[in-house]
Amino acid sequence: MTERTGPREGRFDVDRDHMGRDLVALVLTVVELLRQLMERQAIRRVEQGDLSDGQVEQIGETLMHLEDRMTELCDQHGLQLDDLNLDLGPLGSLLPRS
Amino acid sequence: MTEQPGAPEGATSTYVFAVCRRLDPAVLTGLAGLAEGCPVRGLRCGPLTAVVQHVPAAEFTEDAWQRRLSDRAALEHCARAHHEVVTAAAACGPTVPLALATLYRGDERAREALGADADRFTVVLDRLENHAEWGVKVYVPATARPPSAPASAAPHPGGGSAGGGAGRAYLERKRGLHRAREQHHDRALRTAEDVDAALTRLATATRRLRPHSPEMTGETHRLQILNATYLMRTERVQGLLDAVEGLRQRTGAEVEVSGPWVPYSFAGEV
Amino acid sequence: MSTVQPVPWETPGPLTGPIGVPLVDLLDRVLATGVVISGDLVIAIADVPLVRLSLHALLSSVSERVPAPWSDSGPL
Repeated sequence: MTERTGPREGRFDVDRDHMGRDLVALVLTVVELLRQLMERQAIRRVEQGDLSDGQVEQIGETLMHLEDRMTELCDQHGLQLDDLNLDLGPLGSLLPRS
Repeated sequence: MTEQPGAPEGATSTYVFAVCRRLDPAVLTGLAGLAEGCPVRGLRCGPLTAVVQHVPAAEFTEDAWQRRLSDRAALEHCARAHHEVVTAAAACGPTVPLALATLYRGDERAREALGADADRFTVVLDRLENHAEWGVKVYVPATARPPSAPASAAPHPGGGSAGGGAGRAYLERKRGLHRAREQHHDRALRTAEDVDAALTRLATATRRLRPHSPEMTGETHRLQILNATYLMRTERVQGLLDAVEGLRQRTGAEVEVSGPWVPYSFAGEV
Repeated sequence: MSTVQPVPWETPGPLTGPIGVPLVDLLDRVLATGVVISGDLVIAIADVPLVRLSLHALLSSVSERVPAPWSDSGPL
């Protein structure tokens, strides 16, 4: 937990950096959840066989690029894509652990 | 915990660790309990004896507990101190261990309240006689982490349709990973059920506890799939240990057994 | 009255004695979700998370006393 450094306002970069990174991790975790959900849905549709070859190829490429982009974003913020998660206490974690 | 020598009457509460029938006071000597300086002692409540201690009231309010629960070191200290008293008392015979934290405004209140519940306690004490609690935790290896996706995947030689491009190959690969994960998950669940079923047959009572997440264990190489606890007759314990060994061989899972515990998990209405 | 059989609590062992019991296992049992009896003050501890919610920690760290890292008051 970020340590509060007292009632003084402002210029405590350590606090801000910490909070900033927490916030980025949170946002990326939510985005990653959406990405995984979309990927699952795409796989289901492919298995059902109701997509044309062109659609499969397009969706697959898009998801592939999306994964690459997410990996880059994580990298830029010193995070690992596989490590993104949110612990919801009694509900377990937000993303399924591989 | 701070001492409160010569503190006025209202400044202490009575903390209750456990309830039993008979108690040999000697087993409680030297125990610190939750408040240094106040003895851990027996308090007769009708046909029963409660194991109690005076504690500073101010340190055991609702707020104080909430703070304590968020402080890992303080929580550990309390849990172990509580457990030490409970375990010592249980050496004399069947004991109903109480959870953290049961407090009364004073000895008289405690005596009154516990005495009123004497019948319930008697039922539980009868059930716990000649029994101990044994915990079983089962682990399976976590799946191997998938290799990180290369920027352009080579066309995948499997799959149904002709002309596999990079997009389709990506989806095929992901599908394979998901399926492998599901199969591993299903196998793990089946193993957990098998172990629980086998041990439940030997137990007087059983309870499932929440499995420990990787955040709690700090382990990533294995996953806990079962955290169960069994109320066992003393003479059946060897049978449990033998059954566990057999299950280890058969399922290949890691099984950890802990016990004997004073039956915390079976003290309530079961 | 039946004779009471002493149970082997005193059996020394690395994991089963009062000292050295793994903390997680102890907390599983000592922080009961079911309350046995009602004291004057009973802590009804339901699923106390041992690991804080990241979100909770984040939100509680952003308050009037600690300025947000973004320039306007922010949608969050």
